[in-house]
Amino acid sequence: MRRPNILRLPIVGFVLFTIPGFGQNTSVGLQDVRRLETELSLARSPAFYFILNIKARTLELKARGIVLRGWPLGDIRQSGLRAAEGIHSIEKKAAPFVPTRSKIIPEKADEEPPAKPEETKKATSTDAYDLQALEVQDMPERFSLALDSGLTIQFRPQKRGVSSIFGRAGRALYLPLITLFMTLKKKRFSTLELQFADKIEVQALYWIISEGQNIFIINN
Amino acid sequence: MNDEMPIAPRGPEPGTFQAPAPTPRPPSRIRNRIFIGAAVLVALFLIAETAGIILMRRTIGGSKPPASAVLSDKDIARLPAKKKELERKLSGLAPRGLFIVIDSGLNILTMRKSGKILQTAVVSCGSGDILQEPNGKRSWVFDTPRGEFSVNSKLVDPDWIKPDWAFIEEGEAPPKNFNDRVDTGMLGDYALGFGNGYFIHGTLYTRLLGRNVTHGCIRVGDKDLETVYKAVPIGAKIYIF
Repeated sequence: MRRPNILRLPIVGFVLFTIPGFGQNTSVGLQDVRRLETELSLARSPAFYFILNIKARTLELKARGIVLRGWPLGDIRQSGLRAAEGIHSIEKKAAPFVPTRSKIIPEKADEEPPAKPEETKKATSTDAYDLQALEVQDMPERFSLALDSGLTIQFRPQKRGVSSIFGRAGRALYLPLITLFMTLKKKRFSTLELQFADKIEVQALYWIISEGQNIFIINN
Repeated sequence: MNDEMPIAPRGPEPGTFQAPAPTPRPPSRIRNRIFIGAAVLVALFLIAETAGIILMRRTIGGSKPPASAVLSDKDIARLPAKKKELERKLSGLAPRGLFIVIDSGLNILTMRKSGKILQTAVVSCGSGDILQEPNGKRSWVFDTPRGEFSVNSKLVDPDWIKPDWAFIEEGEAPPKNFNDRVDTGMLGDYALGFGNGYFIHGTLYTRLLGRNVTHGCIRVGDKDLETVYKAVPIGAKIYIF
């Protein structure tokens, strides 16, 4: 006697279920398409944009779809509501101090004439110069961005040592409590802390990032 | 005959019970209350933690996906083709041929093509200083402009036509005679213009390469400049950040 086909369905289902990636192709494909469409909408404009991929732990500065510069991320800490995947616009850049520009006073220029070309051409070291200029090293070592969505992104160098382990454990406990407390107070609270291997990378980002730029956050 | 007295066994006498020394313990009712209180606190903490963790899974902000991203079942079948099409569109926006990328913070210039870096050079970009005219009418900020630009001119043995700020900075009045503004040899052997009087050019001050010292132009060392000048055509894109 022939076995009814309906009995084979669970077997077929099980076999398909065990095939790696089965059922994910559609969602992953759809996700890829949506991400490409989102990036395409940014790349059509000449303005530079950032892509923050939380899962891949990367931050990229892009223009026209090409990566101008990339940064690997250390720890990423999310607290409060999760940042939704999509384009967020930078509304405000804030730091403990704002680097100040030097003012050139013309009268002083007369007192210190520039070195003659013949002399400078031979020299190769920059040590002797105390430049009055705004450079990356003058930028703050930590800063934050307030985005139009209410999300705050904090940039800081990676913490190391025992204190960071205790700090991580402590945060795992108190961040859910803070989130609950802020939600009960009906306050939108969402912070993303990005840590970088070296402080110079944070300073370089402060140099590059400006208000009005877009960040495409990939969060799945 | 041994008439020694028998040794009496130690301990309570037979037929009597000696209770152990009482230790001070709280009454059982208080003990229970403490236990219940601690259990309630732990439970509340766990509930609050769980609620917090659930809340943290909610999302904030983000733009809605483009309308075309809402796909029907038919479109789902076409996803791979659509993905390829989008990738093609995205790569079509990238500059064709050689292009230049300048990191004005790290003072690094790279010449690239199709994602490959062909040349890296240490350069000098804008100092960010401010110059105020003594009478206060005009001021200049010596930043290297940022954004997307194109090479719009290529010059060999360029002369520098000194603008007003170059004289004001030195405490001099800007000359009325044009010829007094021409300075030869300051810009090196080559210059690539990218608009508004900004150039990628050579320098006599090679010791300052890698530092932010210029008035907005990008100074490059002689050898690197020659390579870039010879390779990059007019119209090539320049990305400065």
